[in-house]
Amino acid sequence: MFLRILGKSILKRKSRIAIAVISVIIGSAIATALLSVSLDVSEKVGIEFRKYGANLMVVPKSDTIQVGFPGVEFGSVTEQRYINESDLWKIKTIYWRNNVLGFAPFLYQVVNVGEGAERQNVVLAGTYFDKNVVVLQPYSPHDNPMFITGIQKISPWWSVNGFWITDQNDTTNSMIGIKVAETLHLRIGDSYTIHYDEYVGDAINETSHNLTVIGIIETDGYEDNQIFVNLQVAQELTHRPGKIHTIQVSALCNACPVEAFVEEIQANIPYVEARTVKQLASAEMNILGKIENMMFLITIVGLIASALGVMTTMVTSVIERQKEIGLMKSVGAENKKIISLFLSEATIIGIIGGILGYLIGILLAQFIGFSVFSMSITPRFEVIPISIGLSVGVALLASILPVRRAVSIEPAIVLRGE
Amino acid sequence: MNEEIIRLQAIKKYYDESTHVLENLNLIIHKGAWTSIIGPSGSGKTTLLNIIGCLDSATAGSVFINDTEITKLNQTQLTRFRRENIGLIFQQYHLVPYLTALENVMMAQYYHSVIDEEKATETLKKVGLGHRLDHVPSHLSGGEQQRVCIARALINEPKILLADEPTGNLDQKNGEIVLNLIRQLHTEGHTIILVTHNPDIAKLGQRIITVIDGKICSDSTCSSEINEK
Ligand SMILES: Nc1ncnc2c1ncn2[C@@H]1O[C@H](COP(=O)(O)OP(=O)(O)O)[C@@H](O)[C@H]1O
Ligand SMILES: [Mg+2]
Repeated sequence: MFLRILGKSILKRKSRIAIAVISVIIGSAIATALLSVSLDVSEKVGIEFRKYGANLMVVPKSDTIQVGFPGVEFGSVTEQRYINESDLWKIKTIYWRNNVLGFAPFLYQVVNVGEGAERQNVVLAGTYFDKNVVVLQPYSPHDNPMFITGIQKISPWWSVNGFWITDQNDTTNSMIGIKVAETLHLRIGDSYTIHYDEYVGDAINETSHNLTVIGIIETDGYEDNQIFVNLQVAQELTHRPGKIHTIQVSALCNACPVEAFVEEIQANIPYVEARTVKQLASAEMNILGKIENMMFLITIVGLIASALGVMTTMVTSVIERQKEIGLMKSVGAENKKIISLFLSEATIIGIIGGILGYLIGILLAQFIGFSVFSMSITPRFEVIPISIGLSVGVALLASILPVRRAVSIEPAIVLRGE
Repeated sequence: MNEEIIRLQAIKKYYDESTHVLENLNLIIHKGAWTSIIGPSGSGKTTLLNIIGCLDSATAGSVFINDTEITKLNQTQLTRFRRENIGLIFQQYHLVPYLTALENVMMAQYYHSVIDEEKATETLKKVGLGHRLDHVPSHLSGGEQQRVCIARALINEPKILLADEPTGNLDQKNGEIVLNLIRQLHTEGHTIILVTHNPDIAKLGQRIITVIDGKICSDSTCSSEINEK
């Protein structure tokens, strides 16, 4: 009988119930959307933000070398120091190795391009593009001993005209920054020669190398002024086999502390110093935090709007039904029966609103994902109970006042004739 | 017939200081009696009936029904007492619009204890609505609606039936059907209190109580006063 009363009373007031359901849908759709987005994004945004560059820079320890005997100082010299290419794999053997998305070594040298008076100084950067690095002593036997990495891994956001260098043994192709292309009037497919002048005493020992432009890079950063080649090209040209200047590491780190990366890398390669790219890291966290706060606030506002919608509907419904409620009381309904009737109605409104809100919220999440983060949001089923729970909670909470009103109805007054 | 079922002692009802609806009202009603309460509009008839029906509480005084002092009961106890002892028949019928005649009757069973569809059907047949079980109130005539209301009042077998102007909204023919039904219930042993402002209907009762300005005048002394007004 309870179900009949509940069912029929809901069916009779379809449009009013629909308004309440719609208000719940709004709240739960917003909650679902923002929750899905924030769950998904905090995972994916980690990767997304890495697009804006490596977040760890590994350099040789730059402490000054003491020259001379203890106590007798001849002065100090800051020697040009290098990292050994053969130590690179060790970066992949730290505890947080799976969070190391990629790294790329760099060996820099200022070279000359062009002939005669046209000669220009350009920075040549030798690096990895798509390199197979063998992890000689994996951290765990389950680790993949082969790690493919390079500049494409840590800077996938570079806008490239033409092609990336894909062959790790390619010694003839180069990628050049857009400003280099402009000043040297180079286009894709053009060939040019780089010259490296090494001063041996007073004599100049010049080595040259022919390169072809395969891709033109535009980053709006210093890369626009550089020429990129495979590492061994730069090493051979400058007679520094197996040497690199810096390593840029891209670490995905939402849960793990960046400091842990730094310490472990320094422990694995004792002669280097790892630095976090601080501003970037904290800006990243800031933005993530702010986005999450904003989503949280919007969700709260959405839920309050839902609650107000449900409350208005319920209050109106109680006023409209006061004779009916008075009558129920007059034929013997105790307050708890009246309360359970309204709370059941609220629960039904909450459940329907929660389910529909979840579905709409998933769509909304896709929309937000594409328009704000340019990525798709994976629907998450763990959000369903949260969405329904929130909706039912909001509907019940919003019913407190109307239900109190229903309980306070005095049959003697509402059933009076006239 | 002389067993007392309802006793009102020094009942007062004030809504506020200036509106004294009932003034020091004393009344004893005997089991199985049909009492008519008559009086002009606004004299306090409905208020009196609501107090007896446990729908309203008196400002002062005591009400005893079947030796229970209902003026001492709290809200929940009143509700329980009412559903056991009192059947209410309203001028406006007050049926739940989205429930069928049968369901309206069953609703009273549900709030009383458990539903019994057979008994509800039986009771509706008794008031002559065996063919209208599945009609919603809007598809029933006023007389039929009032009979559903009576069936609902009867369903839990209360000893006391309170009817507040039960024929007030009905035409002569339907009014008679309803009054005949009440007469039948009276002969079956129900204690009946019927409020009306129609002297002809009041005369159907064994006893006529006239209420004027919240005070009772015995039938003989006051009927002439009404006629003068
Ligand atoms: N809730 C209320 N608040 C204030 N006055 C009321 C209320 N209900 C009834 N009254 C007053 O009580 C008096 C008696 O009303 P009522 O018992 O309905 O009279 P009757 O049924 O005889 O017409 C009237 O003057 C009416 O205005
Ligand atoms: Mg009245």
